[in-house]
Amino acid sequence: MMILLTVVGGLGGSVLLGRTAVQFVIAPRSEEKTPSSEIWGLSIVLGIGLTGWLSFLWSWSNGRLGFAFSIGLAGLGWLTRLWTIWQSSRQPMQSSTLAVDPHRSNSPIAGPRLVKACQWLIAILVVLAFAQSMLTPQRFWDERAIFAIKAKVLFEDSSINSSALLNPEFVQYHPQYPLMLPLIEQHLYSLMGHTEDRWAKLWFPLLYAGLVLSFSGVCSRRLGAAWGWTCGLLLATVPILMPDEYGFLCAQADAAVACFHGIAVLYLWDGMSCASPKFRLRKALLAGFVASCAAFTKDEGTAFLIIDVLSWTAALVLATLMRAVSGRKSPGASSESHFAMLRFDAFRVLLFTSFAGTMLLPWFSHRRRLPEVTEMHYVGRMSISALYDRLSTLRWSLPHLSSRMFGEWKDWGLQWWIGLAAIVTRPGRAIEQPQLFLILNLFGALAALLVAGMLAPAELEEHLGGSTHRFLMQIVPVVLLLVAAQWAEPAEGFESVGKLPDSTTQSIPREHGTRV
Amino acid sequence: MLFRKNRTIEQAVAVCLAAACCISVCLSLAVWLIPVDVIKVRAFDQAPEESFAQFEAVGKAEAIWWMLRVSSAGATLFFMYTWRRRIAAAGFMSGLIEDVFDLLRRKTSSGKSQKSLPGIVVWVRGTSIVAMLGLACIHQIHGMSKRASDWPYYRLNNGDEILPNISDSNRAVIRYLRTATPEQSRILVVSDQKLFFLSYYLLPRHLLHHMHPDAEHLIPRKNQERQLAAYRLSDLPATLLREQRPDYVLEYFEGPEYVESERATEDADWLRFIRNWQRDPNYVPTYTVVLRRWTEPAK
Repeated sequence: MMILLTVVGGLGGSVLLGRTAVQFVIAPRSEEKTPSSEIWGLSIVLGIGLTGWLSFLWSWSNGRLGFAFSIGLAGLGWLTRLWTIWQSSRQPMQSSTLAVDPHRSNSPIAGPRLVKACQWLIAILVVLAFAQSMLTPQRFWDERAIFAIKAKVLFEDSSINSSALLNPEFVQYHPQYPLMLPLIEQHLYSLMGHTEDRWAKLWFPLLYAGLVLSFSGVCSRRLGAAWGWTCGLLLATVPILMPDEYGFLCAQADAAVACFHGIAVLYLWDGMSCASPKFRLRKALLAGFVASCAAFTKDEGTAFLIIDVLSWTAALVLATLMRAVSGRKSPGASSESHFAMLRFDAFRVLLFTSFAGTMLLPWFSHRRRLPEVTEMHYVGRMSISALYDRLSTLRWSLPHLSSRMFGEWKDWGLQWWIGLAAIVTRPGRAIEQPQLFLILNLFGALAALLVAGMLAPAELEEHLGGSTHRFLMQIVPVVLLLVAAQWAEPAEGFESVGKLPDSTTQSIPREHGTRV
Repeated sequence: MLFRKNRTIEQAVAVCLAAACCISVCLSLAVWLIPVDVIKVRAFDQAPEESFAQFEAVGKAEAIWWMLRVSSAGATLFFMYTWRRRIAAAGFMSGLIEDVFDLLRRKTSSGKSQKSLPGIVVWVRGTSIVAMLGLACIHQIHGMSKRASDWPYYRLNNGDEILPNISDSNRAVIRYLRTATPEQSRILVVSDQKLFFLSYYLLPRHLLHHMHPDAEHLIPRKNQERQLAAYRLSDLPATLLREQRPDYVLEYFEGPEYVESERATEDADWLRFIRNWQRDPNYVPTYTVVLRRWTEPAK
């Protein structure tokens, strides 16, 4: 019972820490009505990300991890929440707009019963995820050999500079892998006072809840409540995220990366169709933070960060070119305002990249000290000649990849078929900038997987064959977001996704100028 | 007309809820009144005449029975509560059916200005939603059944106790090292095995291993089907032992290229442990395990 209370207190502290962060990210005077599902979903994700990052930064600056730090962190979450509630109670008019539930807003919602039914089903799925997760101890290769082993060492030695983790002869897999999961696991161990890997798995269904709530919240805000929550339910039921073994039921990093990467892309996409420039900047910062969490969870996260930047830039350039070729302009928008919009978008790309990069700097600085045994060294191996020499690997990896995506739908889900159908049935919508960004992002991720197969020093069939399904899991939220955007009409009060309202194009130069 | 339709839906919902209440109450009574031991004995009797199968059948039956107890109690409470509010429930159900048909057939947008999607899009979208939810149901059921199958092995035990999903030999070596070495010791291992699980379950003991570069990116296969390259103790550079200063040195080989049958009985403590473990006083292990204390040689 005591353990349960401790664990709930620790998890609750992290979520409330995230809730306070959300208060700052989504301003109290928000012009947009933010659904409470989005607020709490984001609170969970940001809270877990902050727990990992703050533990790392504390230890990186020679602070001692352990009970005192963990209880302090959890206490900080609870205290900051109490403080924000107290502040809100002093300014009722300002804070009342923060947690506006769409059901309580003035405009009527289409399909309110459907929304309620989806919410109930999602709640049941989350409870089942917690129950199923707690019914097994950690038992897979990666979850023990890479992450849990580091978590135990961090708990024993109370520092990321532990002599064991710095020793090349100490037995651990991928010593240079990021420390987000080991740090959040050791956070619970420190609160409990001993290691018990079943309890550490609680973070993962919590991340599942965070992903599904954020996704449903943003989609319901952008695409209408009924369709948004339906898409949230579809995401929650994708078998690869919560099948019998992998996904959020185990403590491997793939589902966690899916959560962080999915939310980063979600907010980049949201920022592309957001009316206010101020919120577009906030969303770029938010996406930057969550993308840095993905990179601090698994190395694929760094690749996704690069892919996000490249696909965003490419979508921007392509959309501008298409607009120039077709001679189409937003009503009332001059060529100067188009240029200002482009400049503003470029600034957002820069903001996103630099924020995520700055977050990751301490980690990359620490990583250089870690042993290199069993590391794949993809970047070091990358060269034109190496890629050219290994082109023949595509003869195996391409059919394998398409079989995993489309052939094995009974095991991993129908999302790839449905994504394809969504593009084919509405091709015109697929070339709008936000959807183009999602499509390029997906292609970038798939290309990265094939390149990894070409460069890895391991046997191709063993290496890719054993990991493709887990990699594909990491981009499932992006596929579902594409499906949601493709098959939806915009919710009332918003222009078509990707087209800025007139007032925005007019206000960009002023807003941009003052910020830069 | 509308009134009659609502009345019909109300009656249908009331009948369905009454039936659901009756079924869930009966099920709850049955599963809570019949003791778990009765179900376990029945499962034991029905399982094949083999101890392993009987162990699995008994554990699985116990898990399924407890799942039924929890879910039937929850369902009973839910249906009774809904029965008390059956008029509201009928309104909700008729609205839900309307909403679902709207979603599957015509429109999605909110508010006043509803726009229609093209017919083919609506058809493909509706079919996709139904297919995804159907597949999800199958996976959920499969997942729960898998948890019931896992139950006999894992129950609510800590991973450190049950050492899940590793080979029997790994399990034996971990248990031996736990008894033979103090918790804070440093153990240098020479081995042709991947030692990550040993390292994990032996913490806070630190396991040290100088991995052969040829084995770095290879994944082991079951039953030693893939021989991983390894250093023997004599191959290790002398400086390594001096640098690492282990408390113990362990030689642990399972692959045919490294196992020396004459060394199987070299470590008397290990031999005693494994014979006791196997409950066979004449058992001779097929793999090499030799643990010895290491003291730094005098300069």
